[in-house]
Amino acid sequence: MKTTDNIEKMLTPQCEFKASSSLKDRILEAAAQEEITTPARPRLVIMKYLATSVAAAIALLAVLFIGKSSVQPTYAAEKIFADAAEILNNINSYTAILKVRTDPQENFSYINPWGRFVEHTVTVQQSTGHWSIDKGGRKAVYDGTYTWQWLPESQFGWKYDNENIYVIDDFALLLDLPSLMVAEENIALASNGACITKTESDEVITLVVTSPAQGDFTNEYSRNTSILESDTIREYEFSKEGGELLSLKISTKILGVNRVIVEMTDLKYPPGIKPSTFAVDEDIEWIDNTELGMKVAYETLPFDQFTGITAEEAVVKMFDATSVWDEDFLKVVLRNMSLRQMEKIYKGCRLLEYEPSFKSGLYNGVFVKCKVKMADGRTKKLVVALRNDNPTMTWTADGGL
Amino acid sequence: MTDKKQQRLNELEGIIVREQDMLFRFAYMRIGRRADAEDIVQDVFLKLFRSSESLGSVRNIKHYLIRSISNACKDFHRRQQNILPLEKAEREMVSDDDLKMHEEYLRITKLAGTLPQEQKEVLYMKCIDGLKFREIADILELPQATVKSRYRYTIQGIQKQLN
Repeated sequence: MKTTDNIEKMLTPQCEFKASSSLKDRILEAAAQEEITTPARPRLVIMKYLATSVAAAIALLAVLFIGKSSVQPTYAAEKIFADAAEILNNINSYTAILKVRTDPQENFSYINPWGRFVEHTVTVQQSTGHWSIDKGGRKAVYDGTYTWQWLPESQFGWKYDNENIYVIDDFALLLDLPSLMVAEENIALASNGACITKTESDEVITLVVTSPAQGDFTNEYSRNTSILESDTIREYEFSKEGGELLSLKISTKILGVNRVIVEMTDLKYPPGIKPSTFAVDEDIEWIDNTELGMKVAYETLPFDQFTGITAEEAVVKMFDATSVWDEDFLKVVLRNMSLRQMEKIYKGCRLLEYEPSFKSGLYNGVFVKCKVKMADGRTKKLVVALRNDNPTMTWTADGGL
Repeated sequence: MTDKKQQRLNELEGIIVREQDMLFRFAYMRIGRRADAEDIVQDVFLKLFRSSESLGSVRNIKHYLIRSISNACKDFHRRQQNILPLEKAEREMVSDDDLKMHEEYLRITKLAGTLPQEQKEVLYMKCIDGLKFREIADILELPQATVKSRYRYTIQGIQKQLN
């Protein structure tokens, strides 16, 4: 049995890697040919940005010219973020209400900029590492032993070993406020195109960070479906006296309009949290994704049928299985979905046609567009999300159904 | 040459001496070819040279350089469409001096197998580049908890494959 230490040792290079002795001179020679250019000032970045959006221009002009506002050198912003991270690192726990434009039952990372606000209650106990997040239609908890995520209305959920941040994806950024502050500090340090402005009132310092969307958008399918995959304007308020974070607001630019997608209100720092906050609901049908649960599943289900094939082939096999409702196959490919819910919709469903798979944004899996015929004869167009980034590289449907 | 430029070149030389081997290893383990890896290292240093009036004012220069070289390697792969296939890397002509290094590249690349890129990056930064979780989180701009769980998950995956 290979231990973690053994594997780490195996992955460590056993020899030195030396650059050529001439590399330094080559670089210095090339650098000597370079003209020294003064880097673009943040104001230039803002002016370029202003030209792209009237609505954004109004917002940023307000930031630039009202009150004691100014475009700040990044060192000022980075210090404010660093101080706030330090304060957050030293507190026992925090709670907050986050209003997010999303759907109550969707994945936590999913945003819908044109949707309504859904209230999320977030609780983090830093001293133990426990956390919980509740948006009504979906809840997730890390109780120190397992991570649980469930849909209360469907009475269905997933159980994972240890702390598994994957279940909330990039929403984890909003749950881990110290790391969020460090990430913003790094953006301020990196001078990588993000633009930061600062305004002050008597009691509050406001920092506004604008950043482009992350991810590969050769295909635009995923754009604006998560915070990281959107062009964002992030506004933070800090206490001028103590430096602690007071609030945050995230907007995205769509069709030239700034749309608030996340707003944190009611950030509190209570000394302790009731243990019941990290308890899971009763009477939930759990998909056991723990190591033990997966071991049992691998031994009893045909996982090999969905490995070593393409995503398109997996889709074909999946709909072959729904047409005759082959539960063994479906327990593999629909492992992360409620089979009973799926049965109500897709029993008897057949695949009519499909297109080649494609990737989009930061999503680690792929999307397959397809057309299916439901049991009642209706046809339906789907974009099925599938991923195989698991230890056995088995394809599982992840969304779009 | 102006005094200002000479001063910047002196600053750059100090940084190259300190960081070039680390950056070269970073690039080589992701590219597998000395010439390409050194080109990338050179581009990263030149980008740094152009980026700031005073190189000393770039705080945490090591993180800045690692972030830059990581992005440069990704750009390289995008331009090349894919990573040097292993069978091609195995046939790659290398000098006697580079033989051991190339064997290590092949051995570790095989071990990491077909891991998804985001898992591989965390794994490489921890085991090959010797970075701490906090540093990896800073460089990848991810929560530390995400980095830790991604790392654990990746190690478990390799463990299962090996066992």
